[in-house]
Amino acid sequence: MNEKIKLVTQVTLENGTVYYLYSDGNLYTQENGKLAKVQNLTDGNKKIIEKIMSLYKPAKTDVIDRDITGKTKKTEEKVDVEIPEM
Amino acid sequence: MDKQYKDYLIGYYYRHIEGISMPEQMKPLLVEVLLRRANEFDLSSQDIYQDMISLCNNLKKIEISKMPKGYESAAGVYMGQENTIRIAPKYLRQALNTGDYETLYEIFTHEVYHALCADENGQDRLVSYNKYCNQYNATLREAIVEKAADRCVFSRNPNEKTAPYLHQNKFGYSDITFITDAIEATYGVTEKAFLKHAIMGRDRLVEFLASVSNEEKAETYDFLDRIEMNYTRLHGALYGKPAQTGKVLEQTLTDTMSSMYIICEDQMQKRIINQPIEDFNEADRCALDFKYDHNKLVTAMEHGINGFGYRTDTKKLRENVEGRVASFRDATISRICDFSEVTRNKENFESKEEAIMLMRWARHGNLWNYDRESLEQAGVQVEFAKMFSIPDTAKDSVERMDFNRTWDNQYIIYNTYELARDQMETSKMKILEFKDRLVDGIKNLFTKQKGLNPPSEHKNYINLQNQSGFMELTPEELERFNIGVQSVLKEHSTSQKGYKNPSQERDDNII
Repeated sequence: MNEKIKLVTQVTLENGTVYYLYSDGNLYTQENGKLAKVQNLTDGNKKIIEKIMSLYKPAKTDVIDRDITGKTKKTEEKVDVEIPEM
Repeated sequence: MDKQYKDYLIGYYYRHIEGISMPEQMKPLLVEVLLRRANEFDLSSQDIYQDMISLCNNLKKIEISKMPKGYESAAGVYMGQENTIRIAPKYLRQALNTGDYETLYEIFTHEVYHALCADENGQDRLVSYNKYCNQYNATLREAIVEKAADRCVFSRNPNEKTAPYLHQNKFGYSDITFITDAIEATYGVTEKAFLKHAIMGRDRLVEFLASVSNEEKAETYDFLDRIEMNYTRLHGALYGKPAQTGKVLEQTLTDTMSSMYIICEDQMQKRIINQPIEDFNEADRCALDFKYDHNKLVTAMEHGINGFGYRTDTKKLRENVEGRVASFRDATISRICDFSEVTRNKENFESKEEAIMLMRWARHGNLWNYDRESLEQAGVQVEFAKMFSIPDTAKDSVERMDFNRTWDNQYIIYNTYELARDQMETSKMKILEFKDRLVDGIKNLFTKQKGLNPPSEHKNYINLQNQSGFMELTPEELERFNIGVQSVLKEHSTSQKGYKNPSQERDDNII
């Protein structure tokens, strides 16, 4: 495997199969002790990928409504702040 | 920080918090949060300026009020759109009951740090877009904010056997803040240095980590994205609603812990390769640092696994993680061992150039390809996968000295008590029943007896306790009083779920 490809995450499904997501964007599984790329994007595989990706949605924290979608807040008047002395 | 500058900053902070609506007793607490942050993390005037921009544009109100729907178990929240921090009244009551005002102050510090994360447009500087899961990274910031807040409130003993820099947080997310320790170890930086940059935003953190490891910033972003993806899943499993349990949790913990461990090992190998080595003396220091940092990583991950003991069988989890990580970890150890061996015998090679070349081979894990006879002649033993114990190196001492400071929290305790008492008297906070107050009073007296809050250390706090209506007793009176209320205390401890110990608190401690 190319040395620059790095492990992103591992996911164990209910049936015990472990999937490995690598930084090349591909899924791999272990076959005969070696990593093998999941080649065919069948409907079954797509469902697995969807299921895997659904695991990574952030849970609630104590920060509510903070804009983390890349948009800026609605314009508010900015507060002037002094530059502190050294 | 010298006194003159401190005095200047106090005035500076007071001028800027004028526009924030909050209970009067909270103002000195807020100034103390800002002052400690500036002092503890050696913030530059530019950083302090940025903090004030963040605060003034993102915090308009601090209130003691019921938690919003869906966040009922939280101790505090920061509401970005409303520019408001809200602290749960039950934690003020708890502080009055238990006398633990520092935890309440830590919750407050945590929320203020969230407000400080945002830039003038309200965008969180600690958050970034994760290219792997197409989500915004919002979980690692919790570990960073909590670790920094904990550091600025609770004292740690630099001489404790378990290194103070691997300390589990006292309150929030205490089971998952190990991740900052692991990242620090991977990059070979102290907690203080890590947090100093991390609290100023993801970009600042990346800039710092990339500079110490001689890598491109894109690689550091990539590393943090991969860590954060797994960390997000871990956080969701433990703190999501509903939280995972049983076999599902076991698998999630195995997947995420082993993934993060492997990612750190992999990154550490890269750092070892990237480390520029110009001369022999530097090589000696690097060999010690690599050993030290790798031990710290192993210990941090071990702490992490142990921390899940309240939710899963850690023995089994350790075995599962070990099974997946061993080959990656051994590869790192083997490189460090080989590098160390070459360094130790550097004078035995025919030329300096040969020694430097072999150091490079060792760091790439290729030493076993070299002529074995030449290596043996030079005294180099190529061995596989030794475990090191943390050597008593200068680096360890430096990290320990990082914590050689005891916070004087009298001021905090005094003001937090004033705040809690005032809120109790004037706000809608539910007044505790008489029996509860009686039991709390006794508990506080017991605590004093045990010397946990000796009058010499917390004089103001003790006096204020007396002002609050608890009886001041002689030892003899106390003895008689104790006997008289033993039954009440016993009944209370079995009938009420309050006064949990920290490990029992974890479910509720989503700050």
